[in-house]
Amino acid sequence: MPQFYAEVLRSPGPHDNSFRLLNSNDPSPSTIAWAKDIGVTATSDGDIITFSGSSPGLGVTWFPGSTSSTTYPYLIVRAKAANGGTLAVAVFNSGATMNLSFTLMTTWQTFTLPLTTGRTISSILFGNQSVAGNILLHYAYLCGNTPIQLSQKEVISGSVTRSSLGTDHAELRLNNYRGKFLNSANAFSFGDHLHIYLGQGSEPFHVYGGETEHQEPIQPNDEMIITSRGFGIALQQAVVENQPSAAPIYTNSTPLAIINDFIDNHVNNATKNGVPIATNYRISRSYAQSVGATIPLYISQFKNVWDSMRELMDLSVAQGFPGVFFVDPAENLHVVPLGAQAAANWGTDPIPATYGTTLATGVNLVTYRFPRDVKSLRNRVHYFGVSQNPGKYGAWTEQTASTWGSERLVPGTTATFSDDGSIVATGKYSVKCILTNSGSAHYGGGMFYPAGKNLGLNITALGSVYSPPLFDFYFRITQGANCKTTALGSPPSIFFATDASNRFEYNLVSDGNTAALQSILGVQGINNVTDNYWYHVLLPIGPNGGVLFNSTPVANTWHRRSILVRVSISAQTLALHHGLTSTMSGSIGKTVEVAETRAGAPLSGTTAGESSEADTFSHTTTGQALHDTRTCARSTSLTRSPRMTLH
Amino acid sequence: MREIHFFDPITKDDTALNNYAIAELKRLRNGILRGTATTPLLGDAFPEQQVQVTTQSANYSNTFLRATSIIHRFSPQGMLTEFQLSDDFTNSQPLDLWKLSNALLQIGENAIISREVYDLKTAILDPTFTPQLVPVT
Repeated sequence: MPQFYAEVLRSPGPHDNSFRLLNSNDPSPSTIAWAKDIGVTATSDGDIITFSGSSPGLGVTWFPGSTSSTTYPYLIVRAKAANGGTLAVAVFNSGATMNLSFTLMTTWQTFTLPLTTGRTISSILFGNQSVAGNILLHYAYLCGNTPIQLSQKEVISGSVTRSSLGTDHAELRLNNYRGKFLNSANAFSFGDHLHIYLGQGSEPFHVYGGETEHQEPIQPNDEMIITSRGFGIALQQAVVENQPSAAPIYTNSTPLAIINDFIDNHVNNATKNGVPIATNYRISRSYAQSVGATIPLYISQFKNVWDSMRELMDLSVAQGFPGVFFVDPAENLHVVPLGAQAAANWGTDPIPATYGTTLATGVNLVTYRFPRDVKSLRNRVHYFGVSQNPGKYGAWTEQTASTWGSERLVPGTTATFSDDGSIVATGKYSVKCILTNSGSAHYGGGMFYPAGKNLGLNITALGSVYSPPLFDFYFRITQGANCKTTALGSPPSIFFATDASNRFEYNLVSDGNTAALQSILGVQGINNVTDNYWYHVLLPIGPNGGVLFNSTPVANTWHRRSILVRVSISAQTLALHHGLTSTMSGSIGKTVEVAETRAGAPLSGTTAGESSEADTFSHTTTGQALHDTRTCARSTSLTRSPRMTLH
Repeated sequence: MREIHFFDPITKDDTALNNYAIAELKRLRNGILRGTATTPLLGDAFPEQQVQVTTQSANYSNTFLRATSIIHRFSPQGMLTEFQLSDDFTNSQPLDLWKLSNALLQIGENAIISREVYDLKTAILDPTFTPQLVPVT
C-alpha cells in the first residue's frame, strides 16, 4: 500500500533538517551539528539523526541560536523510537529551564511542544529516554504557528519533481472547502515549509522539502492549488557577488573550494554584503565532493549560485571529471562524480549511485517513451570570450620579487628586487628594483618577468586587428639627483620576447633623435619623466598592436586588467552522426613566450661641457603591472638619438 | 556541418575558455536519449542515480540509464513515478526534454536556449577574430 503524508510547517524560524555541520565537507555520519553528551551515540545520514544512550541530563543538544519564544512559541519535531517510550526535552533559555516531554511511537509522528513565551532560547536538550534503543528525529523546528498535516482526503492530486542541477518543485491540489486553507486555523502563508513523504512500502520516504510560493483558490470545486520550490531555491535565489571579505574572483581554486565559498559566503551568510539580514538558508555542504581540477581563473559576475555551479560542472566535463549536483529535501547539497555508464560510484555520499530497483517490462514498467534525436546536434562550436593573464589582477607583482629576473646589466651594476608593501598602485604589493653600481656612477639594465622565461603567453592567438591584446601596467621611477641621460639609440624601452634574440620592443621614452610622441609616454628624454609618480599604461601589443598607445575599448568591467583580449575559440568535431567517434582536425599550438621588461638600455651620454659619463639607469616594467619600479640613478645629461623600435 | 556560437562576456583564463568551448561541444555533438519511463511509486529514487532498464522493444537489457529527474504523481486514484532518462554519461548538463517548468527554472535544455538568447542580446562580436581551433575527439 503506497504511503502518503504531507505537512506544512508554518512561520518557520530556526530549524534543522539535516543535522549536518554547514561549513564542513566531512560526510562522516558521526560528524553532526548537534552536541553529544558522554555516553550518547548519535549519527546523521543527512536526513535523520539517530541517537541512543541518553540519560537524565545527557543527550543531544540543538543550538538554534538566540531565539525569541514569543516570535517562535512552538518547538516542532518529527520523531520515532525503535522501542517507544518517552523523551525528555529541556529548553534552556533566559529564564527557568522549560522541561517538556513527549511519548514516542515506533512510527513517525510530528510533535508540537508549546513554549513559554517571553524567553530567549539558547539551546534544547533531547535526552533521558525512558526506554533504551535508537531514537530518530527527522527535523526540529522553532515555529511561529502550529503545523498543518495534509491528509489523503484533502489532497485531490499532486506532484513532486526532483531535479538534478536545479531546484525541486511540488504542486498540490487541495480541497479548499469554504476557504479552509486561507481564512481559518489551517491558513498558511508564503515561505512556510512543505514536507512530503511518499513510499511504496510500510514507511514513506522524505521525497520533498521546500517553501510554499503560490496559492491559487479555484471556484467552482472550491479547490486550492499551491506550488512550492525545494530547498535548492536557496542556490537559485542567491547571487554570487562581492563581499567585504570575499570577492567572487577565484584564482587557482578547485571547484570544491569555489562551491564552499558559494555556500558559506553567498548562500548561508547571515550578514551578506556586511548587512545583517539573515538569508534564512541553511544548506549543508557535507556531501560536496571534489570534482574537477584546479581552475586558474573563475569569475562569477552576479550569476546565481546554480548558474555558477553549472559552469563549474561544465569545466569539469572538459577536464574529464564530470560532476553533477542536487539539493535533497533535507537541505543538503550533493556534488558527486557523474560516473561512466554502469560504473557510477558516489564514494562517501550516503546515497547510492545506482538505484536498486530495475525498471522492467512485465514487472514494474507501466509506460515508456525513449526518443533519440539529433535536433540540437552541433559539431562546431564558436566560443567568443575574454581572456586575461594573469588571472588575478596584479598577480605578477604581488610578492613576486623573487621570480623577476634581470639582464643586460651595465658592468658592475647590481639589480636588487624586493616586494614593497608601502608604495603601491593597486593590490597590496609592488615589485621594486634598485640598480646600484658601487664602482661606477654608470649603471643600468633590464628587468623581466618571469625569471624562468616560461610565461607561455601566445599573444599571436589573441584578439584581432580591431581588438589587439592590451598590456596594462603601472610603473614608477625614482631618479632623484642622479644623472638623467638618455643615450642616442638606447632609449628606455619595454619589450616582449620569446628568447634573447627575438624581442618585440617599444620605446617607453624617446631619445634625442626621435619625436616625443613616438614613445609610449609621449616624452623625449628620461629627464622629462616625472619622479615618484605612478604612470598607468594600456599598451596594445602583438601583431595588431600598432604604435598608438591609447586605450582600446574592451568588453566588460574587467577590461582594465593586465593583458586582456577577446578571443575566438572554435571547438569542433567531425562526427556528424551520433555513435561515431570524432576525429581530430589540426591542432592548437601555444608558443612559450616571455613578457620581458627592458629597463632602459645601458646608457652613455654626454652633455655639452661635461665628461661623457653615462650615468643612467632604467626603469620600466612589464609582466602585468609593475607596481612601483624604482631605481636610483644619476644622470648628467640628456642625449638624443633616433630610435623607435617595434620589431 | 552544424555550427553554433556562444559569447561569454566574463573574463576567463585561456584554459577555461578552451574548456567551456569543449564542454558546449560535448553536450551538443551527439544524438542522445531523452526518455521517460513510468512505474508504480518508487519513492526512494534520487535524481542522477543510474537506473537499470530492461525492455525488449527498446533493445534494453539491464541497461544503465541516467535519471536526470524523478517525478512523483499522486492522487487517491494511485501513485506513479516517472523517471526522466538520458544515456549521456559525459556531460554534467545533458540535453533534456523541453518542459515549461524547466524554462521557468532555467534548467535542462532551456538553460541552453536561454543562453543563446542572452548571447544574441549581449554579444559584441568581432568578425575578424582569428579562431583558435580546438579539435575534440
